[in-house]
Amino acid sequence: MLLKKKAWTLGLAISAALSASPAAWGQMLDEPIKPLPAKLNLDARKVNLGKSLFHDKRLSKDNSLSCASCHDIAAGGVDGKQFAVGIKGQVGPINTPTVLNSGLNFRQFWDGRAATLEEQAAGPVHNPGEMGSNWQEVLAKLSQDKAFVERFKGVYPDGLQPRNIQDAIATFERSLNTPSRFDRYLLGEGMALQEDEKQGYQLFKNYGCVACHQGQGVGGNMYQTFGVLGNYFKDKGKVTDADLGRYAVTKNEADRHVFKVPSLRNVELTAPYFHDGSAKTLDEAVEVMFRYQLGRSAPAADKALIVKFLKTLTGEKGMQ
Amino acid sequence: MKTLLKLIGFAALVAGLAFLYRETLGIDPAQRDQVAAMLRELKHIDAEWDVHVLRSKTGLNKNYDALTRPQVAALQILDSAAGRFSSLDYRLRESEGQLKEMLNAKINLVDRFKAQNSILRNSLRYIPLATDDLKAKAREAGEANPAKRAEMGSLVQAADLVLIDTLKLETARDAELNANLRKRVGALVDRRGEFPPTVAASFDTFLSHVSTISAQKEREDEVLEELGKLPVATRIDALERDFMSAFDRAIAKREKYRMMSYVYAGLLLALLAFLMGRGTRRSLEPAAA
Repeated sequence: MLLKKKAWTLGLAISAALSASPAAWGQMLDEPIKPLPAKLNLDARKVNLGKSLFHDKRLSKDNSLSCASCHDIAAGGVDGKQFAVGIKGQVGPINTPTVLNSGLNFRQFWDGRAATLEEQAAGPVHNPGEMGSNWQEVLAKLSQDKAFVERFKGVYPDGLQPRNIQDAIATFERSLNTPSRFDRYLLGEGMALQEDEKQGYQLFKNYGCVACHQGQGVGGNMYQTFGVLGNYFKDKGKVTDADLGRYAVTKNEADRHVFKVPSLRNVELTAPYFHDGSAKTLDEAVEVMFRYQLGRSAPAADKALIVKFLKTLTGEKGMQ
Repeated sequence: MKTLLKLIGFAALVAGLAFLYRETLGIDPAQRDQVAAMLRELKHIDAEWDVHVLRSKTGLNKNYDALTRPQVAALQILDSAAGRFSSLDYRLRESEGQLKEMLNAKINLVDRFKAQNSILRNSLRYIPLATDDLKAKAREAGEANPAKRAEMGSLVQAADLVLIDTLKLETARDAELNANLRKRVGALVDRRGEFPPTVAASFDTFLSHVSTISAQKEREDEVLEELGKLPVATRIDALERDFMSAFDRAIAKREKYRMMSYVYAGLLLALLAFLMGRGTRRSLEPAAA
């Protein structure tokens, strides 16, 4: 009788162990979202040079703004404002996307007009509404800084050149990956998430949020129309040029209101949300997504759980 | 003056030799294998890309990273291959340009596919739930109002038929089925004004997903057809052929210049020997005299 009881207990223990999630076993999970790469193969000298350039205000015409002015790395890679603010206080037409994990994006800018980070790096420098400068002016200023010129020579054989400035900034930006608790969970550390956060992730998948926000970047690898199952722009009212999205680049009618799907990594820190910065909170943003992208409703408790899951995507190591 | 002319003549002869020598250096034989390997890799990436499109269509791929990575990789490989062959023959640039144009067309189509496929899969996943919700609301309304019972009963039946057509549509490309589905939905839309508010709200959700599936399925099929028609692999083969011909021509040209440089060097040596001989004779003449 005792033996039978022991066997029953053992059987129960084995079946419980076998039915446990792979995460509990320390196996990497096969999920639509993939963990960030463990190691980045980047030239540390370029990263350091790029970091200096990223924080260098001489890249702007009046020496008032650096890339970091809008992309505050310690604050989620954004400025926290509805619209970006350029030199002389000019308010731009669009919300600042985060620079964190931008190396995972398949294109850059909301409308995907830059194919690479190198190409993107030149954009704000030349935009009259942002930094309002040009490479000639930037080179003239930086070439007076002998220490800087020497650093460039040490990294690039042809020294201080626009393409090298772009390359250094892009390399630095590629280094800004932010592994999160959710990455640890994906890598098999089941305890990295609490039960309600796991439920939130399940709901994130069940409701279909994961259809667009997937892959290593939890987004950033495709375009999508804003307002798939509801007319967001009609409800919003006044439509601006920035609302045209990818249409402004291609002039193709099918691209009207089409935007790059943003990465949800660090989304807890990147309010306000969307290209128009119209959603002030994460709850509000989730609500809009349900209405216009998923075309369905959900109980408030489910949305709250999804928000809890989204907060697990915040990078664990503070960025400087 | 005579010395100057001699110097100019000497410089011209040496320049001729230098020119011939330079022409024999213009091409690295290893370039052929390197470019061929790059183009083979490009072809491999393209084939895998097609596989991943189909895997995503059938839901085997859990994300679109596998469709996104080749966008960058393919263009990078083409650019580095072009960097190696662009100096060979200007006609290769044209061939490379055509391939790049085709790759960009493919990138655009794959981008459209990703956007449509994600919407389609979401709506297909949700439509059975939306149908259940509509049927439940219709039954509730029918029970609450006996006058509406028959009408709500027919709505329940119609919703089921729409669901069946919608799910059938997922499995095959069928324009007729899609047209019938639209007709069926159109008939329901005409009746919407008669629905009680709770049913109408549920119907709107149901309708938006059915319409989305109908439209997106048609667009996805078009995109897949266009993708299938893009002869990227053929274009890569054409570029490889053009490159090989240009390379062979360059090699033949190099060999020709090499032969010419040998002959030229031989002639120069003969000239030098002649001049030295003459110089020696001249230096001996006064002594003899």
